[in-house]
Amino acid sequence: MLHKAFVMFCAALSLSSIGALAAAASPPAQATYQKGDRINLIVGYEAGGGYDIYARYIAPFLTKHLPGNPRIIVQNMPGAGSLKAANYLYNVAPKDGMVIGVVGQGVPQMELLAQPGIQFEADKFNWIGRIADVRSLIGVWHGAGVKTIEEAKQREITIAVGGPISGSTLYVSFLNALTGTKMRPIAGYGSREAMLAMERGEIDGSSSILWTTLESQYPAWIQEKKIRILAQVGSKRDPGLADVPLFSELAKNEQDKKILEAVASSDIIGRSLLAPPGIPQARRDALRKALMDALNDPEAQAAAKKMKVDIAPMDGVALQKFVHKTNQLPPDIVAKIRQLADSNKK
Amino acid sequence: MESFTAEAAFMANAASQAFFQLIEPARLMYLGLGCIMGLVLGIVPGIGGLAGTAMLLPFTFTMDPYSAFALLLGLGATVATGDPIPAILFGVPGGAASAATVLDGYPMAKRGEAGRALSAAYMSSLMGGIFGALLLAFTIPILRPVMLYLGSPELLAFALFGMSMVAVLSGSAPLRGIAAGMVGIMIAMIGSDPHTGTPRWTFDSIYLWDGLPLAPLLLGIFALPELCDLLIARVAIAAGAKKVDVYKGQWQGVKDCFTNWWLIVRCSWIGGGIGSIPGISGAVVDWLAYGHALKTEKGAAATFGKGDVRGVIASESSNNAKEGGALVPTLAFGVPGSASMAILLGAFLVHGLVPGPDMLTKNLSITYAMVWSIALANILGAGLCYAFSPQFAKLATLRYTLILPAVLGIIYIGAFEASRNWGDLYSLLFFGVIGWLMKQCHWPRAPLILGVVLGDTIERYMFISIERFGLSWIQRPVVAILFVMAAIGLIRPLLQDIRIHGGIRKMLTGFQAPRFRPAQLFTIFVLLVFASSFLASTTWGFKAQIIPLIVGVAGLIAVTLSLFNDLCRKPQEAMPESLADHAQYEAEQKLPVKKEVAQKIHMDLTSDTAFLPVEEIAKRALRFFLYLIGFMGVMATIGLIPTAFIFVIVFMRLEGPERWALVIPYAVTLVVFIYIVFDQFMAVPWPQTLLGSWFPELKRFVPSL
Repeated sequence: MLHKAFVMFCAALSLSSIGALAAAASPPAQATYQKGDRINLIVGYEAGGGYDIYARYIAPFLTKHLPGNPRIIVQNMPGAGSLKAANYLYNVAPKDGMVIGVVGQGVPQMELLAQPGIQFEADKFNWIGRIADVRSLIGVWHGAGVKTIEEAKQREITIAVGGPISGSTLYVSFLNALTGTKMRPIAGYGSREAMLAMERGEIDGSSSILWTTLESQYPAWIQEKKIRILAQVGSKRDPGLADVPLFSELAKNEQDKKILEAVASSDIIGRSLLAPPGIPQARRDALRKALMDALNDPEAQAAAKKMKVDIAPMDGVALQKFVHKTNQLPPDIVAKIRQLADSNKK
Repeated sequence: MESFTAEAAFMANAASQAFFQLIEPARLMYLGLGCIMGLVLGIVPGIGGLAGTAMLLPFTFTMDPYSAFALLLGLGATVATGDPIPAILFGVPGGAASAATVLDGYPMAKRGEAGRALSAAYMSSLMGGIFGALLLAFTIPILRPVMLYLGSPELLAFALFGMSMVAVLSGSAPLRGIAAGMVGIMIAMIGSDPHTGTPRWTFDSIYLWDGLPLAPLLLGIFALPELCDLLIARVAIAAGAKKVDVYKGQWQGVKDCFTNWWLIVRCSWIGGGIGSIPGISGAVVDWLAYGHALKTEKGAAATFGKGDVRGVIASESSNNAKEGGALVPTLAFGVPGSASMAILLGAFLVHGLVPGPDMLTKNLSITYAMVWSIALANILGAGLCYAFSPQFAKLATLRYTLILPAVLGIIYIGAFEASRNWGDLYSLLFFGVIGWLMKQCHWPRAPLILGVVLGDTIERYMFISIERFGLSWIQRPVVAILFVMAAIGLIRPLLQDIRIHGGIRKMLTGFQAPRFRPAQLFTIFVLLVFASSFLASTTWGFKAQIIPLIVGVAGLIAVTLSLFNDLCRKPQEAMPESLADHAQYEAEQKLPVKKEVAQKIHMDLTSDTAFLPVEEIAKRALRFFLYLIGFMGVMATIGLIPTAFIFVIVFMRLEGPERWALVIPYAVTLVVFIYIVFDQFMAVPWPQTLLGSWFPELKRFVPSL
């Protein structure tokens, strides 16, 4: 009897303590972050890659500039070109501002291309802001026999590309279809392997070259004119590539121009932070402000220089607008883009 | 000549400068720290250097390059030293590159020779690591020209040559070996296809888009079957072994390594060479070295797979050498030779180092510091292992109720670490069942792993080679040589078989009316898998389906022949080999992969060894897998960390029953370990749980909920 009573007592005690714990745990409706908070920063790629370096670079400075200096923990969640992380952030992650993320720059474009597996609307994420954009290039080795994009319309060259839905493949196939270039894509190269394959003469060129990579890691190639840049992605020409045409400049008409701009839009989104939809507005605004403050922090800028990380901030409001814009293309253009993208899959 | 002398002097100068930079106390401390972490991560099954390197990377951003690489390479280089410990003690490979160590290391532990096997593993790891570093040090001047000479066709040829090792690794069951290899390649084809984006065999799940991660598959195929059999046998691993002096065993292991130094040199060159080929990951170097030893060592055919120390030596010397090899393409071209090298590359860039010619001229001393780091880390790692070895060796004598809960719990996390997804746990369970059935039905498992690891590479480089060069690439000299070597590797065992059987005619006769055996159910299952995958692939575009179709047809033929042979071949009791074979089986209690090349029996299945009644085996195996399913069910409800706690208690009470005074501290220790390492330190994003979604507030108090 005594034994039974003891068991009942224990059960009651543990139940009530769970209840008490639960009550104590529910956070008061607070405006923004406070000391002791822990924010998880989900990266949709493996550690050590470009996106990961950006996330790990910015994390301590976000902590510094957020109210309450919450600890920020970078967690890698690679999978399906960061689609997995994007789906997670949209559907599973708590919508309290304690989970934010970095996903592939092509994630907003995935909807445009009607890719399978998407469980989000890019427009509805809370975009926090951009750390940097990127500039993709199509470049060829000096011995390829082609020096300009015009010459690439006369003569066939082989171009190393990545997977079927990667930017590198889209750039080549869209330029071929809309401007008449004769680039033959050879799929299956990583961007660095492509550089090596170019050097050993296995292929003529690559469409997965980033301008920052070229500048910082292959400076000799530029100085010794070992590589020629045929075209660049972006909204305006890079000062260092003043005589290289933009994709959109190669278009033959207004519609094609819109298409090429849309394909290039992912480079403008670049390395950006986002948060799940529906997080408290105060926290979203705090995150947006903290990111901009961090990127203007001289200490952060010095660290960026040391880590060879580029900075080209875009604030959250502007970024949100940009993402919205890329998802508001007229239906005929969307249809044309999907048709062109699908032709790669044959 | 003069320029050569100058060059040599320049290199020697850089090398010595690097050495003195590295032996500064602070840097040595980082190296030591890296070593300790590497060893721990190596010992923990499934968690390899990749996770550790990723974890340490951010800490290196603020260090100087020498310290940063000392830390990262210290970790990377010693993981392979820690890997063989669970492989030898529990039959659970600590990492992908130690799977081959299980074949001989585990039988040695069962015999009571754990101390000798461990010691041989450390010493060969040490020597292999140093030879690998030496190879790197001396080839630095010619790295770039060599790498520039090797194009996609050559890399394809290397992968195909690696695949040809299936022949030697299939032992007496070549047909099933080929079929297993083909299954492996098919598994590698799972996911979004690299040319058309067609989702191949993904069952509409995003998890499979990037393909199946290696860790759950490897743990399922190699680790779970051993643990399952441990539960079935219900004994300590080294049960029945005579008491052997651990220190004597250790000394013996060291002597073994010096006796077989030439084998170590060869295997470490294989490891270094293979490690330097991007795409052919470190996960197969152990098998390639093992296969090489099996082919070339005297009498190996009769003793490998039964606890021959040379098997351990071959595997372990190669996998420590691969780190040096993997640095080659990373340094020379910025093309990472392995996944952890990809992370290391991140460290390069952060420190403003540009891979390429600069690393061999301007930054040569940093390059040499890396070589030194690898060499010193190997010495340090092996030293630490020796210090703790007697304690490790005793683990094999513990009751299974003490071994299983901790090892199983950690295997779960190891598998989950692969892609941090529920899918990892499903794959672990699925391949656990497959692996156990393969083991029970005498299907060789090594060819499967070769297929999984090399499949992607083969497909990718095959397409690049054909699209770029048509068919002319076959005439490239390196390609031609490798193809001839692969052909010899494939044909020689076949000729041996024919000789054993007394000619082709005798081999193709001697059939009878079909006789059915339960083990054939598994063969039929494999046949069905091939057939259904084949059917599924017919709707894909040409580029997506061509390789799966070829592989599928080859696999179908192999498995059909195997089934026919198994059903209809007359028993060969007249042949003395058969008896010997049988006796060997009895001696080793159904150890899976048979390696009796000299007296192997072509296309023959040894009768099922039934030391326990089949019914009992099935019942206990079911019990094992029910534990696993239960674990996953509870984990889905309350999260992994509380589950580990409950699992330990339930398992030890039900199986032992062990005393509460032992059970509770055990459970608490395990949970605290998991909490600190995985929750706090590695910040694993735990999957959503039921309880967590009902009471989100509880998450603040219960980790992993």
